[in-house]
Amino acid sequence: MELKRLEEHWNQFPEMSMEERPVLSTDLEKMALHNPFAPDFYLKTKLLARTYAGALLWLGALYQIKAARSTEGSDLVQPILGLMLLTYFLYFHIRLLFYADYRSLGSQPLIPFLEKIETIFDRYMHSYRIISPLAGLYLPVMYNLIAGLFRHEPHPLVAGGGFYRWLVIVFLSVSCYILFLHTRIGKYKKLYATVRSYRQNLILTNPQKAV
Amino acid sequence: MEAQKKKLFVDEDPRSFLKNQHRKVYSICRLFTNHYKEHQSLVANILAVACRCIGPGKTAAERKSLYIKACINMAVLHALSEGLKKDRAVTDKEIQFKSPDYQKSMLGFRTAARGISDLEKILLFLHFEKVAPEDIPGLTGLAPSLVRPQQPRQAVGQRFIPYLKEKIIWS
Repeated sequence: MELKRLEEHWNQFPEMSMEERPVLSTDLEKMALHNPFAPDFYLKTKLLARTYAGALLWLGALYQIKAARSTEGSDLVQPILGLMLLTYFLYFHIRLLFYADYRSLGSQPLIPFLEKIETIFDRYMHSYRIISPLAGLYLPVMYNLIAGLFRHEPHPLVAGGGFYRWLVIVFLSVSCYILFLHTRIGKYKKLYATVRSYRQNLILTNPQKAV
Repeated sequence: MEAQKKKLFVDEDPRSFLKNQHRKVYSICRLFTNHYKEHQSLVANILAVACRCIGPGKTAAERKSLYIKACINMAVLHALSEGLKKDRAVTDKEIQFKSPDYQKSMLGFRTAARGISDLEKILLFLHFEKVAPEDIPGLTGLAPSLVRPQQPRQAVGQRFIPYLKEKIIWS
C-alpha cells in the first residue's frame, strides 16, 4: 500500500523540468573533468603532496649520509634511522595511493566502497604515527640549519650527541603526535566514525519497513 | 548477427550511453537532494564518476551496473557530507527547487516518503529503476538476506511440529 502510494507520487513528477533536463555533450565534457569527491573524502592531493615531500627529504637524507661518511667520526645512526623511516613513509603513502585508486573508487558496490573509504581514513590517521618520529628527527636538523643561516651557535643539546639528543628526539616525537592528535587527527577520526556508523546502520537496518 | 549486435554494444560511445541513461541520475537525486544547487552538484558528481568508470570496451550490462553503482555511491557520499554539515531532519521549507511543478511533486513525494532511511531510499531507487532483486546484492554489497523481504517469524509452537515432521518422519 505504502509502495503504491510512493509510486503514484513518483509518476507525478513532470516529464521535463529545469532540474531534469537532458544532459548536453558540452556539460558532460565539463563534468568529466571535475573532481566528484567532496574535499573531506578526497585525500589524493594530500597523499601526493606528502609523497613528493617525502621523496625530497629522502634525497636529502641520502645526501646527509654521504656527507656524514666523508666526515671522520660523525654519527651515522640518526641519518640512517631517518632514511629508514623516510623509506617506510614513502612506501606507506605510495601503497595508500594505489589502494585508494580514486579513479575506480566509485565503481564498487556500496558496502565495499564505504569500507574502502574507512580504510583510507584509518591508514591516513595512522600515517601521523610515522610523521611524528620523522618530525622528531628532522626538527633538530632544521633548527641547526636555521641557526647556521643566522650565524648562531647551534644549541648544545641539539648539536651534540649522546643520550640527551635522543631524549630531545623522543620528546619532540611525542609532542608532535599529541599536537597532531588535537589538530589534524580529530577531523579524520570524526569522518571515520561517521562513515563506519553509516555503514553499520545500512547493514543493520531492516528493509522490511521500507517497501 | 548476434555477434555483430554484441560488438555494437561493446563499442557504444560512452558519451551516448551517459546521455541516454541520465534519467537514472535524476531518479536518485529526487531521493537524496533538497534544493536546486544540491541537485545540480550531485548530478555533476555522479556523471563525473560514471565518466571515469564507463570506459570503452565494456558491455552494456557492465556499463549499466557501473552506472547504478556510481549513482548509489555518490548519493551516499552526498548524504554523508550533508550529514556532517547538519545533524537535523529536513523540513518542507528546505525543499526548494526552481520549477514549480517539480517543487510540487517533490513536496508530495517527500511527504509520502517521510522518515525512510537511506537504505530504504536506495532500495526504492532500485525498485523504480526496475533492477531485479537478485542483482541488488551485487550492486550494494549487502547480504542477500538483508535485501530480500524476510518471512514473518512464526511462534515457536507453530514451528515446532513441521520441524519435528521434517526431522523425524521424512529423514
